This record gives sequence, C-alpha cells and structure tokens, in this order.
Amino acid sequence: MINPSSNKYRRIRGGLDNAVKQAEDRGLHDMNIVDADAHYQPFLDLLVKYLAKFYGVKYEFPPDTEVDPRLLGGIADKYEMMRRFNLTPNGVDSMRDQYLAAPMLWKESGPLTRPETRNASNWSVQDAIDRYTKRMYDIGIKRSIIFPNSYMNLNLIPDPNLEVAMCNAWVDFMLENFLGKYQEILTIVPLPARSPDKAAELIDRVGSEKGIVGAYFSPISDKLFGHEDYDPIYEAMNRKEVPALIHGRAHFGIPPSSEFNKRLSQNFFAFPEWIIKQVVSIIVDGTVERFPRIKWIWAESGITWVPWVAHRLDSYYQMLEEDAPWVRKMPSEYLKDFYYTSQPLEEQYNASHELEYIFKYIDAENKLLYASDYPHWDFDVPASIYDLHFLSKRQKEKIMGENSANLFKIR
Amino acid sequence: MTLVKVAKVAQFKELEPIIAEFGELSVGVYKFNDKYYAYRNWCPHQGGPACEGKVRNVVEYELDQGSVKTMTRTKIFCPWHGVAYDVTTGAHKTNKKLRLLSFKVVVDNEDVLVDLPRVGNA
Repeated sequence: MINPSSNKYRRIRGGLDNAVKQAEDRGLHDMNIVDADAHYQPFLDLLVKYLAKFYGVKYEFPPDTEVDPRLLGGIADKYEMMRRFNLTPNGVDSMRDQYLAAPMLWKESGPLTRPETRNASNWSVQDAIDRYTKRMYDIGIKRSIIFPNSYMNLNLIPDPNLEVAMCNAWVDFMLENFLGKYQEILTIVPLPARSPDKAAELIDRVGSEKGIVGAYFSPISDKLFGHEDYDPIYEAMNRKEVPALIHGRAHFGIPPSSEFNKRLSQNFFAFPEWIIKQVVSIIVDGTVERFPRIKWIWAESGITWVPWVAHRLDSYYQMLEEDAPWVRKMPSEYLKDFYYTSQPLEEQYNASHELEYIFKYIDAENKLLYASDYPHWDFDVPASIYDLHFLSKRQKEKIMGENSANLFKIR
Repeated sequence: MTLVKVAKVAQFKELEPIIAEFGELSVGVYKFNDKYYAYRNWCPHQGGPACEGKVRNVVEYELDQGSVKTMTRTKIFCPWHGVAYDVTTGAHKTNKKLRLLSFKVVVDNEDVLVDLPRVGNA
C-alpha cells in the first residue's frame, strides 16, 4: 500500500519520477526497504528552542560569519580552519578560495546541483516529513534513518559545551517532531564525543526512545576510536544495546584532503580515509574485544576498501602481533563482523565480477544495508541494489531491508 | 521508419532541449550548431532523466605531437549524478557501457521529427 503521494513532487525537472517508475516496474513497493542513511538538516532557528535547555546563555552565532548562520556545518568547518591555521574568519574565506580555486563545494558546482538537493539543507519540519513519508515512499523506501548532516563535524566547533547542547537539542527536536509520530522516520543520537561522560548520559537518556536506532560520533577526530577516553560512551552503548552507526565524513578544503586539488580526488579519498583509520584503531586497540556487544556500522564510504584493509592488516598483524594484545582472531575476521551501508555503491563498469567477489567477501547478504544518502548528489536509488545481476531475490530482500530491520529492531 | 513530430523548427533554441513524451518513452531533442540530436531521456547509469540536466562545455586535453591540444566538448549532464554525455554522440567519454539511446532526427520544412521504431514500447 503506497502512501498517498503529493503531486508537488511529480514532474519536477530533473526530479525522481524515473525512480518512482523503477519502483513500480520492479515491485519495490511490495518490499520492506529500509534506507540506512538519509539526511536532513533543519534551520538552526528550529533548534534554538531546544538548545536553550542545554546551553546556559542565549546562543548567537558570530556576526562576522558570512555563511548562512542557520547552516551549522559551514560554521563547524570554518572553526576548524580557524583553529588549524590560526586564521580570522575572513582569512578562512580567502584561504578557502585559494584552496578551492575552481568552483567546488562552497559554490555552485555545475552538474552537481539538482532540484531536490538545492534546498535540502534547510527544509522546514513539514518539508522533511513530506519528503520521507511521501517522496521516499514513492520510490519504494518504507523507513529512513536520518542523519543531521551538519552535525557530522560538530566535534570541530571550539566550545565542547555547545557540542553537548547541540546533540541533546537534535534528539529532543526529533523526538518532539518526528519520532514515534511518523514510523517512516528514524534517527541516530549524535554524540558529543569530546565529553564522553555527557555522551554516555545522552545515550542513557534517549537510547531506548522509539525511533532512535543508533549513535554517531564524527570519524574525524584527534583521538581515534580505540582510545580508552571513549570507554564511557562504549559502556553506555553496550548497556543500552545502541549500535555505533559511523558515517564517513569529508573534510573538503583542509588538510589532508586538500592536498588534492579537485573535488573528484577529495571525494574519492576523504570518506573512506577516516573510516579506515577508526576501523584499524578499534581492532588493534581492542575496543571490539572490550565491548563485544556493540554492533558497528560503517556508512557512506562504500565497501571496496574492506578487502584491502583486511588483507593488509592481517599481514602486518602476523608480523607485529605484540602491538595488539587484545586481538583474539585475525583482524579480517573483525571486519567481517561489521556492517556496511551500500552507498555510494562502487559499481565499476556495471556490476563487475570484482564487485560480486567483494559482496561475498563482506557477507553482503547478511552484513550490507541499503542506503540512499538522499538527498545528496551522489545518492543511490533502490534499483542500484535491486538490479545487481549476481544477487538472488532473497539476497536483495535482506540487503534492501531485512538486515537493517533486524539490526535496528525496526518493526 | 516511424516519424513523429516533436516541435516546430522555430521553437528550438540552441542547446535547450525540447522533451517530448510518446507513451512511456521520453525523448529529449537538442539543436546544436544547426544540427539536431535526439536521445532517450533516461540515463544508463542509474536511470535518471538525463535530458533534463544542464548542458555545459567541458575542456579536454590531449597530447598532440608533443604539445597539449585543448578541446572543448559540449555535454549533457544527468541531473541525478552528473554523468556526462557528448551532445553530438550521446556517448560517455570513457565508459562504453554508458551511452544515451539515440534516435534519428528529420527536419521536414517547419517541423522537427524523430524516428521512433518502437513508439510506446521502449
């Protein structure tokens, strides 16, 4: 049964009508498709009300910030550049221009804008409800796990107390407006990882709430995830059975990715770069052994890196075993315990034999979770999995929904 | 040969496609340098409406007897993911599996027609 679609999403030039047709042609509306990674960033105005509860003084964004103050992501990146290079806000702008001499991320980047992404960073509450209950439903998706995209680098803003407040505010905002009211919409708890006790408190406070399916903290961190400072967070995740849903994150325009001078090169590298660092850290430093009940899901970094890390880590582990006293099995076996989201599916030359091998290598049938990354420009429609010729109908059902439903206890 | 009228010659503007629907088949027709090109409005990458995307010039380099030759190609960018197709051939630059399905265009006096061998059944 399809939700009544709103006509306002039809006949948009460059829109998703073809994906609706794909869903109809393939019978996707009869499948339980779960999207393990979608995005929504509300206007900051909408969060201020919730922020006040957790942040003592009235928060105002710096007047010299030229980016739209409602878009916190821009501010977090900007603060990070100020911190790293000891720059004033204006200095950041000029440096950014130098690094991004070609029209890249902060300017309209040619072919990469499309009608549904253009304003994705500032939908109203009703916009977001409509997108995920109607538009996504139209293309076959029954449940969407929504990440607040500008929270991805929240650990980079200078004030850790603001980070704590922002994380709490997001959850309360989602609880009041979405979770439990719209079964289609689920979310994660963004964690203030620089304040592990506060992060643990937040997990204890909301980890069991309806619609909360996991917890996230930024993979771009000075201390890698294997560091013991994070243990209070892991204890809380263990206690509340909250999966760690770690989303890849690009760091455009600042080192190390800025060594690349093109968005193509940066995009290729930046997302898996930090995910790989954290994966190696939690295996070698024993986090996975000390907290065996935590389920780890690595999002938006593709899957083709997994065999490379597995082979290389195994071979060095054999030679440097004494560096890893916690490790109790070959590192590659931990990689096979993890879950991965599918987007961006690296479909070299349309479903090659190599891709089939990688699906088998990671036990995709049981460990891969379909993700769209909607509404971002490199999103994957459900047909990207459904049309893979080497998957059986049953394997498609599992990857496109059942694995997520079981893992996140989605009814 | 099944010639179907898309629009009048006078309705065409340079590189602004006219998109016509024939049953379930959507076709984009482009006028470029006094020639016409017609493609199925469907991107073989993930199924996006390719002909609804922007048309832009792209620079390509090539070594030509020791010096760098700079060429400009005009490309259709699928609005879903930015996959680019040469407006004169419908082909992707390097991936041979990515090519827009093309149709023959015929200009008959004032009218621009496309040859659709499988009208309504594509």
